[in-house]
Amino acid sequence: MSKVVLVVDDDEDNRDLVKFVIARSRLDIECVVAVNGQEAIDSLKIKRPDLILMDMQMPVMDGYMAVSVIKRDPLFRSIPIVAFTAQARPEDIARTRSLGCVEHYTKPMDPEELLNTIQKYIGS
Amino acid sequence: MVAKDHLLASDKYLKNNIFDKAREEIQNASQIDPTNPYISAFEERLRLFEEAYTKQHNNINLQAAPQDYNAKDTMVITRPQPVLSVNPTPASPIEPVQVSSKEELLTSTIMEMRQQIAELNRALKLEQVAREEIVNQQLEASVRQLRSALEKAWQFGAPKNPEAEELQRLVRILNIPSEVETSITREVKLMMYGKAVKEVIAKRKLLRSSSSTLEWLRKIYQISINEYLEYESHFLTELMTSQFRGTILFVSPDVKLRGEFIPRFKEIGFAVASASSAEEALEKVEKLNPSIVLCDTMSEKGGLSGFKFLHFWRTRSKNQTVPFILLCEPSEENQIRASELKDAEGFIPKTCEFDEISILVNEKLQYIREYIGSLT
Repeated sequence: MSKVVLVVDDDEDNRDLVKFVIARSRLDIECVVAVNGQEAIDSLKIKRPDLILMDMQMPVMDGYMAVSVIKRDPLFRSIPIVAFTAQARPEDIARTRSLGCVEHYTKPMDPEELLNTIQKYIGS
Repeated sequence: MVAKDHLLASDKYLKNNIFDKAREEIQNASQIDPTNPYISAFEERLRLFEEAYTKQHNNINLQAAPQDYNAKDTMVITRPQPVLSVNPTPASPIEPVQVSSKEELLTSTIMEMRQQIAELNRALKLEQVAREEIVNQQLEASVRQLRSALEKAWQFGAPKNPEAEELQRLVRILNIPSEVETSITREVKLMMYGKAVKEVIAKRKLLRSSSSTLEWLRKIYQISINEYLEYESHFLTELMTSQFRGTILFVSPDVKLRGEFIPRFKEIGFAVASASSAEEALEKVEKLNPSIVLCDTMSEKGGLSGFKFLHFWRTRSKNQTVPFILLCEPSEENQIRASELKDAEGFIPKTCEFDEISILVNEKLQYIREYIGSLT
């Protein structure tokens, strides 16, 4: 059974690039996308992901808010969330960690590194 | 019956190759009218017909045996038409008897048979060509089918085992020679890799390192270094075809840096003018109208630094459409970020690989092209 990764990013190019990398990993992963925090929360109820890659700066609902909502929900709090952001200051990292993100992945991305991160949490 | 009737009957028998009866009729005519001048002519005619008939039969037997003709391929041998013309009616004037020599008759028969053999050979050749064409068409169709399966399998990189086995099964079913299969696989693999490279290059700004991403893709598509080198110029050409090329003004006091990058920019279609200092560059700018400036932040002692040159560059309105890229030291990156570069400006560490610098150059040129396009 394939694993599901939810990619939350308002930048279409970023979403496409993550899909591009995952498709070429040849791992049995289905990629689901959302363009903001609210859409991500809504999509959880339709298809439960095994991992969430969450951009932090987004319109409508940003990643910080979305992560805190998800982590408060007993149904979804166990889903690992990787903060997927260009912000790399120590305080940014500390903030995403404190919200419950398992990892802080700093953009721009490196395909191999991103795949290692994904595999680490979905065990595919 | 008169002699004439016997001779007429003899003529009919001759035409049907019934020589005994023909001879009998001639003899009957001779008994009735031994002085008839036509009798000797008919005897001669009978002899020639018998000889021609015998010769023809011998030829057919001799030629048919080695060629092993089937019943359906039996050659149609035209019976030689009588070459003698006789009007046996005594009342009418008798036409002279035309007797061809034996050699002429034989020659014509041989010619006719040669012609038939040549026609058969032509037919065989046509059939051979048609068969080859059919085989080629079948191979082409098989190759198309395999190519389509390969493109699907290699879309996201080297196929996994089950897919690879499926492809092998297809190759066996289609009966495609292994060398053809190897060649098509290689072609498809490189094509898919090329497409992936293009996609990645289009999103390079989102990638930490273009070169490490390309390296990763090489692994994904199982592109060997040799294959990459073999196709490098092709890939680069393809990548650059849609890009604007122009004149680069390369400013650096570092001879080694200029020697490293200038030839490579030239290789991919840029004209490059070099200057060892900002002052020299300013002189050249008046004559050159560069499309882009690549400027080292370092300068010779007492000269304008790259930063100062950039500030000076900005003050001239005609330079608004000429991108400016600073080649900096890694330690200067933060300082440059804080300097609020404009969209047409950029910076890159000198330690970067040529591909990354080339990508940035093309990106800035593309930006300017779009900017100019939006004005018109």
